[in-house]
Amino acid sequence: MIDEFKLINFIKNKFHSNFIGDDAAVIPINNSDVLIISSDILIEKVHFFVNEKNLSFIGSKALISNISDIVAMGVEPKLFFLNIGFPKNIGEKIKILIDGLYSIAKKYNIQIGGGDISKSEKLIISISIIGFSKKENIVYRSGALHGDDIWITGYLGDSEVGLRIIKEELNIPDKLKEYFIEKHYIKEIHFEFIPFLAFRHLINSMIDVSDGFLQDLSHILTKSNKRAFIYDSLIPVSTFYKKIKKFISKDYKKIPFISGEEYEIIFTASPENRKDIENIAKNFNVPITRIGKIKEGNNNKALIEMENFKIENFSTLGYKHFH
Amino acid sequence: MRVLIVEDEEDIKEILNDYFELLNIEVDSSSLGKVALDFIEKNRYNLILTDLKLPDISGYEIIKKAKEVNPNVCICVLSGFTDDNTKNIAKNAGADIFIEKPFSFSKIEEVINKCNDRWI
Repeated sequence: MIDEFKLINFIKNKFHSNFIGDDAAVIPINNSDVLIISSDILIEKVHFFVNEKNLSFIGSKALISNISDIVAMGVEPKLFFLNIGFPKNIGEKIKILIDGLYSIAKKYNIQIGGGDISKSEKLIISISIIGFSKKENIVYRSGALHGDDIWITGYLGDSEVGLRIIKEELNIPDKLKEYFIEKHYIKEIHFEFIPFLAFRHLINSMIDVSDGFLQDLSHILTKSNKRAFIYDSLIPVSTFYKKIKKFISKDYKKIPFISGEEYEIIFTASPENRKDIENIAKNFNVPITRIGKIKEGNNNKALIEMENFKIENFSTLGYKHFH
Repeated sequence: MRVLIVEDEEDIKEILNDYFELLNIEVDSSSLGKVALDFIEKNRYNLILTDLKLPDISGYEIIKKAKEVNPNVCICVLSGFTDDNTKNIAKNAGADIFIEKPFSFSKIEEVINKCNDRWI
């Protein structure tokens, strides 16, 4: 089976494209302005399962994942295009999915520009999303510098727990289930906070946590030719996550590092900018945590070191298609 | 809070230094005992983490000097030597906490909390 990332590289090389390699494509409009475009696809039974209760959630999540890609470049998205295919048995209920999508679009003031509709055997949602910015405000994965603090917004782990509950692989008290299931589908996007940090030029590199913290951090490190030291004990988890420790015991420490579809933001920044970043986060009411440091790259050493082990091979750490 | 790290293994010293710095805790570090003694004379530390085996002097001298200068300082020994004799000698010299290498940072977090309790 072909590896997803190898296929992306194959396509990039085939087309000699400079637009592939970050969370979104950055297309110059003129000397100062750029257009940012990202595209994503969600497929039934690959990315989600459909049931009576979750169509609205699926619609919301489809747009959230796209918004996250644009925000992770330091840009507020403005417009999206929706392409959707669905089977006969969903029928009129597709409007519930659209309602879910609309609730997120309304929340973040994003308009729909068009798209396409088709019948298909499975439910498929593909969204392309657009933003505009000044080119000097764009933050790439490749900008991490030696000595940078590594920051993470929010908390990690809740999405994976929600997924395990949905797949009936984990049983926890009912009063906690709803929290985690909702966290799997709907995450708060730091819609203004992150672009504001980018506008202030306070951050050097950035990526959103979609495949998993370690796997996504590795993209920053590879692009920036750097290594990282991560302090396990500093990784932030929610109070709800702490409450279910006994139910996930041996996975308790591992889950935050591999939990995908979190849509939190990993960013790196000079220690000199700490106070400014913390003050801005406070003003926007966004929890942020410093969890490690960027080090110089060294081909002979592991990309990521944590307190108890080193990571050189990321192939099993996060979600990968075709594995 | 102000911390001194005395450790001749560069990787460990750097990682400890970065950890405290990430927590916005003022930190000094040295791989040489004599330089550390100088730091102790000039600065007031709440917590000192020291190895016992240093290139120039022994960690026990660090502990003794630190306690002379400030009896309230928390001394945490970081050592790969885990025998009871080593631990007892360190304790008699004035060490408050003994951590075996390799260690996790949750242990260091516990040390910080213990020291903070002492200073409240």
